[in-house]
Amino acid sequence: MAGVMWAAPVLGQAPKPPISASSPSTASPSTSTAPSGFAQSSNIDLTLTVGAGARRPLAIPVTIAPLLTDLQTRAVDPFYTTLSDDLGGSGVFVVADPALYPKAMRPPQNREEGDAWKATSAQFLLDTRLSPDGGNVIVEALLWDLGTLKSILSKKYTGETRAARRIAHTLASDLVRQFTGKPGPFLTKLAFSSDRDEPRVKEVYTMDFDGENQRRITNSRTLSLAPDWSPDGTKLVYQSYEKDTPGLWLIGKDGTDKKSIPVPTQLNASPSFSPDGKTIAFCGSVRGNTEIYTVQTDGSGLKRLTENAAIDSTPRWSPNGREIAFTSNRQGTPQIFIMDLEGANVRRVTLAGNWNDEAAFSPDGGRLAFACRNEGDFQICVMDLLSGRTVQISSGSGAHEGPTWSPDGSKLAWEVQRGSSTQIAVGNADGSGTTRIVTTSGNNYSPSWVKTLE
Amino acid sequence: MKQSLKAGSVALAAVAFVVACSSKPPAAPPPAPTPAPVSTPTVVTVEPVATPTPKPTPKVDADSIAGRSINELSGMLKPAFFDYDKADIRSDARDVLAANATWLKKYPSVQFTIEGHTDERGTAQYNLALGDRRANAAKDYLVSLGVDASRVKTVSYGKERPFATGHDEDSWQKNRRAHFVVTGK
Repeated sequence: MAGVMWAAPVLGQAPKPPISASSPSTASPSTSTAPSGFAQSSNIDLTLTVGAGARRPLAIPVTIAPLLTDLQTRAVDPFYTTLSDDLGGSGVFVVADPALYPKAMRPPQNREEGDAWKATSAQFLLDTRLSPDGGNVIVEALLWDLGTLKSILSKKYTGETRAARRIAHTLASDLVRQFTGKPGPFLTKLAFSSDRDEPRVKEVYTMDFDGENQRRITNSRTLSLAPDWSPDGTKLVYQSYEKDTPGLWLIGKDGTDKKSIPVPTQLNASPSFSPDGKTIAFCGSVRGNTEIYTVQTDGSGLKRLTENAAIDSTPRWSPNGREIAFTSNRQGTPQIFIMDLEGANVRRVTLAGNWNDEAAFSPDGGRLAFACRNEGDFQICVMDLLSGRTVQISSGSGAHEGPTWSPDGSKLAWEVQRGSSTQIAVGNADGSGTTRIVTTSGNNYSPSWVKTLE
Repeated sequence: MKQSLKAGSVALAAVAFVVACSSKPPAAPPPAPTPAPVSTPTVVTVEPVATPTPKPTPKVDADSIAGRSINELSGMLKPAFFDYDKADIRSDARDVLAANATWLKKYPSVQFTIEGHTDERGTAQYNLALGDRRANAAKDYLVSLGVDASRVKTVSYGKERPFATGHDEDSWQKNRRAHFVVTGK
C-alpha cells in the first residue's frame, strides 16, 4: 500500500514543502520521455504499477517578478503556490527541495551552474517570470533540461491579474502534456453535496479540483445529493427531496434550467449519466425493493435492469456505454457486480472484503475504484479489471467513500470522515504522493469529477 | 391516561395480530430472511425524539384528536427499531407497530408518513436503499394488521437525518428506525 500522507488544506497558504522523493515509484511505461538513469533514491514498489510513469525530478524556484506588494499577493503568490501544488501532486514530477536551490544561476549558463542545480536532485528546471501589463499579467515559462542545458519548452501566457491561478493550472497542464502526451487535470471541476448552508439541508456545489472557486448550484432548501456530471460538462443530474419524495433532477452547471426527470419509482437515488448523455441509470424502488433502472433524461423509456429481492443500488456506467457496475447484497454482503444494458451477463467483481460499494470505472474502462471494507473503516480501492489485482490507495482512520476519477485517470477524489467532519480528499489514483483535503466549510460529500479535460 | 391507553392498545393489537396471522395478511412483510442470531442487540426502549411537552391535563376527550396538534399526534406513533443492515421486523417492533395500528384504526382520518432511517455505518447510497426497505417493511406490517395502505406514504432518509449523533451502538440503534410522522388528521 502506498504511503499516503495528509496535508492541511492549502487554501490561501504559503507554498507547501515539496513532496519527499521517498514516494513509491514504478517501472516506466512506454510513454515515458524521462532521461534514463535518474537518481531514484527510494525503494521501488512494484505493486503500484497501475498508470504510473517514472516521476521526473523537477526544480521549481520562485517566480521572478517586480517587487510590488500588490502584485505579489494578488498574482505571484497564488501563481507560484498553484503551480507547485499542481506539479508536485501530479504524480509526473518529484519536486526537488527548494531549500537546496542555488541562488541566481537562472537559467544555468554553463555546466558548472547546471551541476549546481542538478545537485538538488533535479533533472529539470522550471523558470517562471511574471510581469504586470496594465490590468493583465504576462507569464513566461521556460523548462530547462539540466543534462543538455537546453530549453525544451517555452510558453507565454497573458491574462487578467485575477486569473493568475488559472494561468498556473494551464502551465502545469501543458508541462504534464510535454511528458505524458496528455494534459493534466488541473483545469477541471468537481461537483459535490454540502451541508454548510443550514441544518438538515444539503445543496449541490461545484469547485476547481484543488478546492478553489466553490460555488452553490442548487437552492433546494432540502436534501440534494449525489450529483453526477453530464459527459459534456454542461449539466448535472442529482437526487433531491424537493417534492415530498426523493426524485431525479437535472440542472445546468451555472444553476439554471433545473428540471425534474419524472419517474414512477420511489427512492430514485444514485443517478449516473450514460457516456452519450442521453440516459440516466439510477436506483429506484417499488414497495421497498430497490432495483437498477435506466431512463431517458426526459423521463421516457423507463427500463428495469435487475430483478432481485436483495438490495441493488448505486449504478455507474462504464465509459464505453455497454455495461453498468452496481452494488448488491444478493449473495450476502454488499458487493460490486457488473452487468450489460439488458441486465444480463451479471458477474461479481469484488471477491474479498465484507463490504464493497460505490464503484466507479476509470475513464479508460480498465480499472474500477470503489469503497472497500473488510475490518475497520472503508478505504478507497482500485482494481485492475483484467487481472483482478486490487490496491488500496487511501489510508488512515475514518470512512473513505464515494470515489470519482479525474478525466485523465490520474487522480481520484472521495469523501473522508475525520471525527464528526466529512470532507473531500484528492489523491493520485496509484496511491503515490500526498492526499489533499480540498474542502473545509461544513461537511462535504459525494464528489463527482467532470468527465472531460477542458 | 397515556399509560392506560397504551396498555389497552397492546392488548388489542395482540388480538389483531393473531387474527391477522390466522387469516393470511393481505400484504406479507417483505422477504424476511431470519434475523441473524449473532447480532441481536439489547432492545432499547427509546422515546421518540419529538415527544410533545406534556401539557397540564387538557380538558379534552381522551378519544378526540381534534384538539391535538400534528406534532402531538406524531408522538402517539412510536418508532420501530431494526438490527444492523436488516429490514426485518423484530419482535419488539411487532409490538410497537401493533400498538400503532390499533391507534391508527381508531382514527381512520389520520394520514401519515413512515420515514426509513439507518445508522451512519455503510455508504450513503446503500443506506438510502436500506432505509427505503425499512419504511416499507413497517408499512407492510401495518397494512397486514388492517391499516388502509392509502393513508401511508413512505420515504427513506438513509443516514441523512440521524436522531442521535453519537458514533456508538447506543446512537446507531436509535437511528435504525421506521419513524412515524402524522401529516393530516
